[in-house]
Amino acid sequence: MTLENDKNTNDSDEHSADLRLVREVLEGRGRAIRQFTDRMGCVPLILEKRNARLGSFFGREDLEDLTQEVLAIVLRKLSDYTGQGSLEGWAYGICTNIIMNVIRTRRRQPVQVDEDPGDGTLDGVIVGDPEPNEHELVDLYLDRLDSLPAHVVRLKVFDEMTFKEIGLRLKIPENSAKTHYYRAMNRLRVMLQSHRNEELR
Amino acid sequence: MIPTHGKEHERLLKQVTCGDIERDDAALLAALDECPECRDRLEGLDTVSDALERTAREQREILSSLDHDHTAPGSDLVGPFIRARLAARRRARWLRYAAAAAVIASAGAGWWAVMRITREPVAPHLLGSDAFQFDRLQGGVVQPGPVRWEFDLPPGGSYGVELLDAQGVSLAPEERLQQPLWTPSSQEEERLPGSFSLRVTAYDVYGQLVDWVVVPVVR
Repeated sequence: MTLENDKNTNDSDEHSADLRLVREVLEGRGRAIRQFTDRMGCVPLILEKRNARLGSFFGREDLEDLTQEVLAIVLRKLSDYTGQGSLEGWAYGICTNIIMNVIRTRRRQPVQVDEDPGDGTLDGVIVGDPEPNEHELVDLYLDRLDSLPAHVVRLKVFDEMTFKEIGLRLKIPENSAKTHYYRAMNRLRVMLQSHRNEELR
Repeated sequence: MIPTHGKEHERLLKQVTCGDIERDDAALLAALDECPECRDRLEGLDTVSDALERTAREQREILSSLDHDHTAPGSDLVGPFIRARLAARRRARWLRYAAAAAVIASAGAGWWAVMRITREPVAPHLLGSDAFQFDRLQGGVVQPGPVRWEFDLPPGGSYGVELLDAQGVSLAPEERLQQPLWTPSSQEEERLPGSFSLRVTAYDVYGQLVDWVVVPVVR
């Protein structure tokens, strides 16, 4: 077995452990809930880092609100977690989506420049709100795909697995994994193109 | 003339996207050279691929740089928030269980009440009631001659036997018996119609009605 295979096997084991942890949380086991709570400490840290990359567009209170919003979704979708990626990676995706949604919502709101709370936001409206980058959009669109093609793309790009490994993990033929990947990439291409066309209008 | 973007071109795009062929593959280069659709699609796929790579790189960087000893805005909310939500979920689940148990209990109580009502002597029992077991019961009717039955009579209890015609009208006053056996007298035998019913009633020691049954008798 190659080192690469070893790495992916270890990743897979870790993700299985994450899946077990989630199941135990859903069963209400105290020790699992404590462990899960510790792991979800990553959420405010992720939001803070992402915010830094956005040029600190969100203030402290915004980040606290976002933390709760992300955690609410994490808990609501907990039974959907399939262990296809780490818990932190899964939470990261939710953080990204929430941030993007908030930015999009605020962009639609009118800017009120006479009430500056002095925290980088104007009455809840982001000043110079960030235009989502293509990579942020693609991440957002990835969640809109069917679960299997989206899984294949995540395993290929985020977990750097080969199609053979993806096939083994998802119990599908290697060629099916390629077909799902190609279709997903094409869907993302069309979504991105549509976004660009709308921006041009 | 611009060639049609067909299956072969799609196959090449899929192969290059999945890494099965190199960028300098002759067939791919030929397709790109002659087909503007292929060029557009590959450019779009490259954009998606680059964006995904960048997202993945950023995610890896952020996740690997997380300092769990560091406190970020909202860090103090994580524990209380998760515990409160999970506790609320557990409470909701218990409420659902309790509601389900209440429904089951109500259904059980209803069934018990119905069974109790049906056991009460508000209407004649059908022949073959669980309580009365008749001797010489054939084809749903009691054969002529002495009629025997079995019944779990309370201590000191007794039976009452009454003959009824086809309309349920009493043919003779109720006869009290200590044993589960009724033997028609010769006079009764003469007077009885070909088809009649026998109402057998069980009484407790205080003369209170315990149970009854009406069975048709064919002579």
